[in-house]
Amino acid sequence: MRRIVRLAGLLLCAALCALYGEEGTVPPSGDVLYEELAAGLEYAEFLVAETALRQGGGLTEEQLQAVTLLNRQIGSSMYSDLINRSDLLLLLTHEQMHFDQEGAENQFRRDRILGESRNEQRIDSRSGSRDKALRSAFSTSLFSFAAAFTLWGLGEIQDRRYFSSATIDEATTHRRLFQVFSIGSVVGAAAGILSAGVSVALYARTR
Amino acid sequence: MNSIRSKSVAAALLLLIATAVYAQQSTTPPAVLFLNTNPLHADVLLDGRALAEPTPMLLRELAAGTHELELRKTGYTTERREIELAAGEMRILDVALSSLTFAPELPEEESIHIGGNEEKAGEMLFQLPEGSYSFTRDEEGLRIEPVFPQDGWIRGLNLAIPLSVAFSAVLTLHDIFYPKRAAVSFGGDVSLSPVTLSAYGLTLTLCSFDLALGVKRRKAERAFSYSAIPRQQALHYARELYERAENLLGLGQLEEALRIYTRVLKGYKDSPLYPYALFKSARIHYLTGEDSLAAIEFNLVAEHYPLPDLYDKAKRGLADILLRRGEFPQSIAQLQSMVYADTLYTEEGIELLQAEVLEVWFGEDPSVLDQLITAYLSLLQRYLASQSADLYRYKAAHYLHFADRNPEAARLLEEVDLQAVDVDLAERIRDLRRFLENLR
Repeated sequence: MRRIVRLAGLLLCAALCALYGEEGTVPPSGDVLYEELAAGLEYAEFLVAETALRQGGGLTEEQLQAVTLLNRQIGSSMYSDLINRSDLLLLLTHEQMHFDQEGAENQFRRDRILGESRNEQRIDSRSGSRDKALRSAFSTSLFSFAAAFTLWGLGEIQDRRYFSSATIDEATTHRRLFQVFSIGSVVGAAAGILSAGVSVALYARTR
Repeated sequence: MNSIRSKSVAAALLLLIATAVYAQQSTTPPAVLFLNTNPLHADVLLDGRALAEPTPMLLRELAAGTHELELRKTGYTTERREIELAAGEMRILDVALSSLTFAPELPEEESIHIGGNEEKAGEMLFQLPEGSYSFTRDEEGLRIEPVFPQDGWIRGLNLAIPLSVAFSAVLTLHDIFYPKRAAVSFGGDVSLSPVTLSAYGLTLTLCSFDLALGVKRRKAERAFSYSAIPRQQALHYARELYERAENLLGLGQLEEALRIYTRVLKGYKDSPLYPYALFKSARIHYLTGEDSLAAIEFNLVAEHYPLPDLYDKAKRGLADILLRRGEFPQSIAQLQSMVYADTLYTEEGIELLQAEVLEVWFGEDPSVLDQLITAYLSLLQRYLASQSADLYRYKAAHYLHFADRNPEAARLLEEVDLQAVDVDLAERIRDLRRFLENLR
């Protein structure tokens, strides 16, 4: 009830200012107009202060509109001191309203912050595990290719020794070793190609 | 029988200990935390719970122990902090958030090219996303180009791929001219040794990486964006304005200073100087008698911009305005909610101020006499060793006399050593003593 009375008062002072500011009506003398506007502004300031200071009493959209209307009326006058004061009042009313609204939208705001935080943590953890997988796949690939080359080299040595073997047993051993190294080399090359493919795919998905 | 008795004694002891522990826990004073960020208005998560208001904030009911804080603001890095608070401790935490953009100021340039676009420089401030940039000057002026972080890798691959292809080709020729028995056969005469296969695998890998990097670079080039704002809208410009206002305030030009503080309030909501400008504006309004505006501003500072060096001052300002308006209980409530983060105020000083508010209130409403007496007696009890203890004795005695509690008043006055108090107070005490003796 008290809020309605205040709002009505605020609208009344805005309407009074509008009436005096309107063209076509008998304009009051400069001093009277100034007095009227100043009184209206003072009243508006008082009401906003009252509402802000009362615990739990938030400013309403209607009160903001009334202050905006008053600000427009004062803005069209030539009194710079009133214009500055009225601009400041409007700014402070906006600010106060912003906090009141934030208070009213508590749950929504909390959910948004929590959602953003969780989302960021999820992305961070996913990107962390992807980086780890990429590093392992890339090192596996390098290691496998290096192993393939090394085993191929060792196989070549065994191949040469096979031809220069003095006994059949020695030739058989070199032949077997050559086969083992060759198979190892093929496995290394295949593993290298596979892990290279995996690492390229993982790299393409990183941000 | 004995066993039952010993069990009951043990249970009673346990209950006693549990009660004592609980009582200790419930009486543990909470810690107080002033939390602020630069820039202001960062969202806060405390122990995984999102708080309703952004920074700066005053958390008055924090339990002692370790707390985790997460501070988030769009366009800035998220900061995480772990703080350990002792019971009743007051802590100030000021966190600087790093911007995810950087803003080169180029007042000397007429126009610049950023990422291929020509822009007017001078009074503009360009906000570029975090990353590396190359600055080059040619006949058309200054060029700022984003540098793709993996450009070095692309250059390296451009060298490595032809070498790898050549190496694979040599190995293939070797396989054709010197076919091995254990080579991998693809049917017919075509057979490759494992090493040739590895070389091709390696070449393919390098080509794939090159392709992936190329695609990423193109994506980054397409996603590159920046914004330009007038230099005067940059947050650091608020400092220039604020300092100008401070100088004007120093010269006593209140109106002009107020005009500039208002400019800070209008344009720089995230600036760390915003609460200070709001407070200064409130002070000026208070001094010039514009109490309503001052009250709104002090209230905003105390409730929504509580900085350790402003909070108590704003509360005090509100208390003064409410006192001026004759709203005594509200004035006392404001004084009671002070946290003494500002060394300017002591608990004793503020309690004395509350008693003085009660004195003014008593002038209008005699029913608060008991409260007034209690306030001075409590001051005397709590600050017995204080230099003002005799003043409290005198005041308590004075108001005890009003309540017709003359023997108590006389007893209090007898405790005063008149040699130790200042002349004026000694005179008043003597007068009251004489008056009370006459009554007797």
